[in-house]
Amino acid sequence: MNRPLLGRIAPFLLAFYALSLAAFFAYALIGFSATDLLPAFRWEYALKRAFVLFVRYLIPIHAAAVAVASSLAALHEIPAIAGAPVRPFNKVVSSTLIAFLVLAAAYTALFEGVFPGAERRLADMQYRSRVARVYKAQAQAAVTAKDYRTALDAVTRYLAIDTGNKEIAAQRLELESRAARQAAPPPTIPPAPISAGDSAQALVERARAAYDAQDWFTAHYYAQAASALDPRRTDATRLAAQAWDMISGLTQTEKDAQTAELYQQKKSAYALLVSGNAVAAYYRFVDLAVKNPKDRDIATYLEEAGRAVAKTTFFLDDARRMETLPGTQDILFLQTDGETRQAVFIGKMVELPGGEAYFYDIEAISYDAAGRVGWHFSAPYGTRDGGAILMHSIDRKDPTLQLLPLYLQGIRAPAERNVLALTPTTEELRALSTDRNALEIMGITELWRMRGDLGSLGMARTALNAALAMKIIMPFAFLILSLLAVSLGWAFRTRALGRLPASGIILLPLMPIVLAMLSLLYLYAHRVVVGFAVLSFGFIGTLITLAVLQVVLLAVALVLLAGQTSR
Amino acid sequence: MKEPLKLPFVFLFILLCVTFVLAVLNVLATWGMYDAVLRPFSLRYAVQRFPRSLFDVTIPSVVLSIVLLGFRMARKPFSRFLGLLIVLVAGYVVLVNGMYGLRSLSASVPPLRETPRQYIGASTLTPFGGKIIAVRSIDPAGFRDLLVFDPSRTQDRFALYPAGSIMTRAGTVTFTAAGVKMTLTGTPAPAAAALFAPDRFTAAFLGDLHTLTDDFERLMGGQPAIFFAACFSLVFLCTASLVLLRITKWPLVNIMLLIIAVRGYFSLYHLFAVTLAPRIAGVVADPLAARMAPSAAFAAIAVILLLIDIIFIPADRWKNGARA
Repeated sequence: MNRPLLGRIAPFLLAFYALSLAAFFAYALIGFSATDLLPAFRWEYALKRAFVLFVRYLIPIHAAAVAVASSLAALHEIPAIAGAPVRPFNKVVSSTLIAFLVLAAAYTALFEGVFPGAERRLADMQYRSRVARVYKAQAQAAVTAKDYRTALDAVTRYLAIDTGNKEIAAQRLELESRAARQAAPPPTIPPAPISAGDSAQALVERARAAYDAQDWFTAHYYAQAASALDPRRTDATRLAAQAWDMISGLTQTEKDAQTAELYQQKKSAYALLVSGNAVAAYYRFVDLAVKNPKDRDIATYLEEAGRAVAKTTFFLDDARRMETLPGTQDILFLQTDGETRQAVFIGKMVELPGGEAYFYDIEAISYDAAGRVGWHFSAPYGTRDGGAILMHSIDRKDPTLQLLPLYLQGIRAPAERNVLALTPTTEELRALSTDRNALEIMGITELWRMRGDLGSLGMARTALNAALAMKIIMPFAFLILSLLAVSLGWAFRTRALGRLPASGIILLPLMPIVLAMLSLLYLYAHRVVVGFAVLSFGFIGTLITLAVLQVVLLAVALVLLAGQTSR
Repeated sequence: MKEPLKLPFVFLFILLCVTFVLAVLNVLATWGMYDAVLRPFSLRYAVQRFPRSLFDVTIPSVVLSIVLLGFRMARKPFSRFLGLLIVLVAGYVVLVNGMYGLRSLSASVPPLRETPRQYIGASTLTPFGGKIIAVRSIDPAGFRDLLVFDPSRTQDRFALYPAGSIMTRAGTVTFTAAGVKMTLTGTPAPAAAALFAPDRFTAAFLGDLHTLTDDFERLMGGQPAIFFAACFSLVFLCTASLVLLRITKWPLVNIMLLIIAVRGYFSLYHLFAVTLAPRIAGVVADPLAARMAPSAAFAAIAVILLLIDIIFIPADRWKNGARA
């Protein structure tokens, strides 16, 4: 009985941790629903779900390992002869106490650091699976309607989520060829700038397309670039010469007329930009840039118009591309502006580095103190712009495709119509998800920082305080239950049986189950005290109450441990 | 012979400690869930509420005390028959008299008052019958600005009702809008429920305990004979289950077996009294016999456990283990 207890507990801890992780992994794998999640997520989901379950039930698993190890500590010991010296129990157990402190710290780090991220990722996989299925359905519908371009777009977006799906990838190739055969839409895009990655062949193809469209300037521009890139391409040189001939072939009168017309067009586009109609100006300049790729004025003002457009709108394809990324779902909150109150729902928020964020499926209502609805709108897309959401999205190519908020009731001034001022920060929006786990998957520091603000956004302050207090308790619960488990195991240890009883081995899986029941009851008793304290004393009073309670429980656990004998 | 003499007193001591702790937790939870919006917590409130809480926790306290006493009996074994008799008599006397005494005491406790504010907090988003609602204010005259969010819709999810009345009856809250034809009914959890919400395993356990206590209370009022039988069968089963503390040579496993068995008894009672009740009533014509079904099952299991104890289990297995 003289060997330190830690040496006996450590292998059991490792074995219980490993076995429980394996069991949770198997459970997650078996319970994987191919109807809720994409099959491609199977392994990642199983791993993350196993980890989440492991952390959630780590306290009973740990307690079971400690109790079992302590109760088997005397398995191979020869019973002490009466009167023989025995090492004091405190010496046997001292290193174990230090190990528990270290493990409690590790548990806290795991619970606060990694667990929330894994929980979020699980929720996200479910959302992305849902979105992917919507894209797949859209693609199928488009194929049925023989709209191969739309189908190709939907399939491309599907593949952004389910990257390894060979069947859909094959379908995409087929759709690409079908879409190419379908009549191309009128060219409204500006000539793409020549990048370092462009091959001479690609440039020649672009030049030829422009030549066929009788766009001699563009054809010449690309053909020359191709020729410069690869001087061996005689076809490029020839095409450049032919385009130049066509340009030169214009009569002076024709040239004068064209110049005058171009000037007028530039002037009218510029006037639009100056008058504040950035979107219309942008499209005009885009159109002019297509026809006159070398015009410096057009290039300059196109850039200017692009910057002006970005202040009030965003590009639809950007928003759609981000939709497949992980994000926070079903955000609902209240915000006030004096006596006016607003309720806002956001179907999904995708955060990007640098504080940028995209929003999907937005709906908001504003009503005053008299119960009159000021406005009520819904918008498919939005992007964060400082303390507001911009909801005016435009297509990069098609000026007729613009998405604006749809006002179901009331209307606002034109300057405000496409903007929704936001009170919560992006971080707070994450906590405002109606998903019931939203608070559980937040860390202590996040909750501590935001609990004041969240209380004014429609969340119950008491629930926030209670959630925070329960999170603070967890490391203490881990430590105290570890100590109690040592006492329990030691008090009911087997006595020099030489080997583990067969019945015990069979019944071993019971141990974590029973200890899970007991630890959940222990935590529930804490929850009752926390709930009462939050309602009675406020948050600081709750912290004081909990501190006293933990000291008392720790003392009881230590007294029980000290009461054990090594005989 | 000192240990058998000490045993009833040890049992009473354990029972008092356990009952006190559980009753205090019950008082705190009851105040928080239902009374916090009506009055502040005070010693007077606690004293007033305590008898009812004691009654509510009598059954789990007695069961838990028998289990804890079993740990001591396993460590300090004496005659199994005597031990069974002492625990059975002490447990039965305490349970029956405790429930009767506390019931008469708790009769003076005013029933919990019901008000909409227990369920709906002002300016707080509250789940309500598949929807989420937020009310600007609630007073006895009614509500102001009821905002209803319907997540099942894909558009036009928000609806606003400027004023109307609100009514609560037996946990069901009904909003009736003024001026428009709109009635919204739901059975929301109390506003403070999130603070006291147990995890699903604990909730199931508390639900089973609630079923047992409610049934026993009903039997006390209407069918005392069945109540006595039910109390006896429960205490008999718990006492007989102490055999599990000697069933293997590994004491810790035995304890776990006992705990899981006791947890299982509550589920079994729920199964017989709620889930299978309509089937039992269909098979057993006599309603009295049908009501006895859970108690009969308990008694049958207790007898089986006793037989196992007598036939297979050595009385001092733990000591044998130590000597091995």
